[in-house]
Amino acid sequence: MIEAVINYSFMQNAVMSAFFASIICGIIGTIVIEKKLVMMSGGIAHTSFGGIGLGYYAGFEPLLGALVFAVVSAISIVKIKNNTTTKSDTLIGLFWSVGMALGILFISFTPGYPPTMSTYLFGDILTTSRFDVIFAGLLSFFILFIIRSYYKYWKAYLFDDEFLSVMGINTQFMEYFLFILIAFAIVVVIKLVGIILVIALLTAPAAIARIYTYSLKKMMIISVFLSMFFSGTGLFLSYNFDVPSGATIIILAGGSYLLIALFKNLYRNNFIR
Amino acid sequence: MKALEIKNLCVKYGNNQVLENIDLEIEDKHFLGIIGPNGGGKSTLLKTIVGLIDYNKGSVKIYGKKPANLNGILGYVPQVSQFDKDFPINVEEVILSGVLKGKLKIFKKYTSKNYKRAEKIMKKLDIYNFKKRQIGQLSGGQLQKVLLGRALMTEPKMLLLDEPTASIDSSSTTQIYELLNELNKEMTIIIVSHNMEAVASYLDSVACLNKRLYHHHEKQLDSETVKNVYGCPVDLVAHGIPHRVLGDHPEHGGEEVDRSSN
Repeated sequence: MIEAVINYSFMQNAVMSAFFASIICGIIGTIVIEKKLVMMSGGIAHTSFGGIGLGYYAGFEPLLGALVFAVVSAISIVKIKNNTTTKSDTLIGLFWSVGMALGILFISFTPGYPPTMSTYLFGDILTTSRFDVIFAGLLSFFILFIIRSYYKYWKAYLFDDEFLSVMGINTQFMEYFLFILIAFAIVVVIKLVGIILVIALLTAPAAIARIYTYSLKKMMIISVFLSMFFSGTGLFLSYNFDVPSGATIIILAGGSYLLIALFKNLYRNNFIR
Repeated sequence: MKALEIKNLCVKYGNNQVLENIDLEIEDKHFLGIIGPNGGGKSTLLKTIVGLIDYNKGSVKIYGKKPANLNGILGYVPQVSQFDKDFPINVEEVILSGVLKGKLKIFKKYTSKNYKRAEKIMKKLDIYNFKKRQIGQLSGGQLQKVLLGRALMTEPKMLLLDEPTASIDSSSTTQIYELLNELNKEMTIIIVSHNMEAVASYLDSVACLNKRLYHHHEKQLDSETVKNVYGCPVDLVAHGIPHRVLGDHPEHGGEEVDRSSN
């Protein structure tokens, strides 16, 4: 595989986008788990399918459409949730399927052969372009910088946003900002593992890290390295054995979590006895 | 200047009137207890005072300022039960986060002065030994003290506590009330509880809340008042002072209490 990375630019792109996406997944995944935004993230991811469909229909980059749909749905969910009595649960469910439906509709309107959607639904790391890599790189640096430079506030926000709000901090701005970050992160990860599988790559590494540490910062760092391990190994297996990369990465991540949680539980039970 | 001045306050959730024509005035360094049945609007009133809930009508002023622009005058101690006890944060980190306020500062660091103050507060609250412990490994009483400690970090002029003794045993309850009594020398305190037995002797006054508020400038409650608020007789325990009977509510509002909701 090393040879392939040196010789083929598509492999270089794949490795680099896996690297950057892992940084994004580790940090955002930890936040998503601690703020209990897992379903929210799933909703954003699936709504973005509408944007992909629109991209095909109107003839622009489908991922750009995904990004617009993801950001708009994230903002709308927060806005509607804050201004009505509708439960965010219900809203997320609605956005989830309406987004998918829009995507299917747009694609059916697209003239000519229907494009293969499996790249977006299940991801294909081997088809990442130079543009994807640059986008993922810039976003990962931006997320690193924003979280690092306002870390104390983010931690306090995740723990108890009401208290911060009482202290005169604009938590509403933080909420919108965070949701937009999550939307961007999801779109980058879609390229790797696809809309349907994105949730597992966001949550599994952070969930594993949570078993081993009580520090938010360590949780983020461990998650980043775990993401790198899963996506690197997945890429390796996918290249050598010609299996779908997205599914391989997810089965590695999800399987590891299950095994570790199971092992931890058994060990703990024996220990108490 | 009054510490708290509420005039004709009304709060609605949708069509549900939660607070109705609340009037309340308290002086600086006053110790007020608010009791009332569950669902009577106690937490809503507290959250309205700290600015977490918008009101439809009336006015709220804390030391002359509106709830929206307080910047650390208030120390808010929320209910312990609403917290995710698995959250990866330790005691010292929670307490230090009490200094965050106002505008976001890039690369914000806690100063050595912050650390010293946190240490002083943790020692006073008797939680210094657990300072590196994750909050899930604390008892209910210890976590309550951590939240109190966080609120004290900004040196607030007014402390508001929501059900501070709901999930803790009676010895911790006494300890927390003794602490509050001491803190009361320096700041105004408002506490909300459905169980005022233990604190009664420290309070300067008691208010009963069930949609409407009845404020008594006396320490003791009589059974008639409580009956009006709760809609049924409740056992009262008076501490220290012999039992005393207050006059009727000036509004004679007892009849308006919605008994069907109890």
